[in-house]
Amino acid sequence: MIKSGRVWGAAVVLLLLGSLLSGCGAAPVPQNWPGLSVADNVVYAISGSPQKVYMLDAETGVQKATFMPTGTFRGQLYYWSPVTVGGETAFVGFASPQDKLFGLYAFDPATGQELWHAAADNLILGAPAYADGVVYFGSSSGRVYAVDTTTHNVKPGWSFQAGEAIWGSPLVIGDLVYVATMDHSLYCFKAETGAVEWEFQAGGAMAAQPSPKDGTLYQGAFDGKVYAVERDSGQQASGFDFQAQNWIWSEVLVDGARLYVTSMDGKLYTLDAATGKVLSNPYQTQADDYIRAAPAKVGDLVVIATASGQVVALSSESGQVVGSPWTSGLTVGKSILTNPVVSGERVYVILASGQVQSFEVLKGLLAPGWAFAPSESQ
Amino acid sequence: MGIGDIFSTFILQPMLNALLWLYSVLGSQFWLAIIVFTILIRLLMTPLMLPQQRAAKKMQDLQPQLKELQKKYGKDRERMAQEQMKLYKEAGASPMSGCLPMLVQMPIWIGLWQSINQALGHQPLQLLGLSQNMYGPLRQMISADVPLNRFFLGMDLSLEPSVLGGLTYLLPITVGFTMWLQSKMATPSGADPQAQSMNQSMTVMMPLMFGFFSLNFSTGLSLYFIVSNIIGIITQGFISGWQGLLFWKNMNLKSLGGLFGGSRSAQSAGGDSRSRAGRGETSSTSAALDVAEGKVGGTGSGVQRKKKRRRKR
Repeated sequence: MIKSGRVWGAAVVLLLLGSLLSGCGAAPVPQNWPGLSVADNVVYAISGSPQKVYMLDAETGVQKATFMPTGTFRGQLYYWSPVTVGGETAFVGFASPQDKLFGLYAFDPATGQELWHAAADNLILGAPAYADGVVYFGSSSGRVYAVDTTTHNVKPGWSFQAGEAIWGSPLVIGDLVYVATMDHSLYCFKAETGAVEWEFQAGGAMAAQPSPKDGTLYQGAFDGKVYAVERDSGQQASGFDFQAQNWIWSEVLVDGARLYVTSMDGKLYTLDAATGKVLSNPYQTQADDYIRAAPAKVGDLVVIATASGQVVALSSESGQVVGSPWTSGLTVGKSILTNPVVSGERVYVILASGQVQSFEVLKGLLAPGWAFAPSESQ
Repeated sequence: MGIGDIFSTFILQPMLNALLWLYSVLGSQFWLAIIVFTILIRLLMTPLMLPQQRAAKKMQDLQPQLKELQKKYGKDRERMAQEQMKLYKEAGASPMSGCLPMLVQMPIWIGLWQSINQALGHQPLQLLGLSQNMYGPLRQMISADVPLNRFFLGMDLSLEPSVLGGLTYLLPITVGFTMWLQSKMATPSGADPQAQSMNQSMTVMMPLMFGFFSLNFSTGLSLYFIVSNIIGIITQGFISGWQGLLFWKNMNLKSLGGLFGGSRSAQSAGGDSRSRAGRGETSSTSAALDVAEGKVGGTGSGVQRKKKRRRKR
């Protein structure tokens, strides 16, 4: 009797195990890092469980408002992109995996009140870009959207479909829109019509927004290269060459004649913007650490945040580490994969746990300021 | 070094890089990489799998002797179990020999599932793992190809049938069917009713479970299961013969009742399993496990208990 129970017990345990493992396989949980942005002295952080957009005072860290949409959803709602503010409206990409709903919410940045939303065909990972009453964004299906903020509809003519996902934020300069894609191409569109002006084919996937400097766009790629592309023609700028030892996932930081580039090889490179030549010994993280997030410049410091959760400040002149690296006291969710953002003399990072940490430049050093972590009940 | 690091270093990274290398030499076709990888894994597993398949053949060969024992000691369950154990020992057969390869394969399934998720990741966190788990020389070769070609016959190998829908539901069905067929070929026909009842339970339960897995895991993993099962069917065919493939000839729908409380034959030989099934018992599986573990319950035969109950009524 006991033995027969064992067989059935084993079968039930196996089925339960199977259910649990299957749950892992189909879990509709975010596979992206939390979004962080700052505009008009407000820090927009995507945090908490269930996820919300928290609007924090950039100086004090005091919570000013939150954004939660009014719709009802079968499961949890996730915000996949950082928030962008433009035309007195905030925009954020959302997904309700159980409803298979994806799209963009527009809300009031002062109150967090929902204004309108536009549907998309897949996840929106890159921050939307706003210019002249139009919000531009790409989806994980590779489609580029240009939504008129007055009509809330896609602008006529805009129906571009790339061969792979779009993870980076579009860049709008004048009447042109630049979008890097995972299909190894950087596209330039006419903002008005959506017509493709040119296409530049790189040697690897590109997951970040292009960085402009004068007539050149700098774009890191998964083949470890930084490409310098002429904005007018889409041709590769001659005489520029740089190769890292692993993927370049994030945006290139342009600072005058210098470029700062972080790589998944764990290094921060300082490059000559004209040639791509490495100007000083790259900063190297500890073994097994890497840098997904883009570098940020605050005052005379270049700030990097590493996957192990360290925040390091380096002198933009000498490339030497200034002060001691900051690490959170967390043991779980301490990694930093989101780009740090800068407002005035402050820089902000968000940990994988959703905790926001501010830093301020004091006497040439990076000093930790306020921290914000939402409680479950908020 | 935590258990996660050990798993990553010794299981995940070698498997991931093997798949990536195969991908690079097989014309950037991930489905082909999975198939060749499965064949290689089965080759590596041969020292474990072949004894299991030979043991199944031995079990089949022992059936006449087991029937004799059944006739001789059918009423004395304790003696019957002892004699069966003795027979198995002498013949070098083990009714539980299938468990070890199954256990050994579990880290492979988990590693393969994670490898597919990372290699074919279509969300940022999945690809982070890929960048960190690739070996140096392969990184140079593969990085320019990311995101990798994850499609096979229009099907995304990184997504689950429960997400893809449509014809992809055929995959879990095929996984379950090929696993059932493989088990069927390895299961001794005409075995002693008690052991047969247990075999029937496992023959049905495992394919159901793996079909359920496949429904909710990436279709790439289903491809591995299907190819692995087909290889298992072929090797079992060479060892035990191909008559098991003609499963419809031996189909006995009533025998499926063994899953839910013992087969008819088990009832006649082993006791009133239907009445006990209602209380969550099956004498057949119990007895088979007793035999496998070298233990006996010592409660007398099912027939004796049946008679006692009738007397009570």
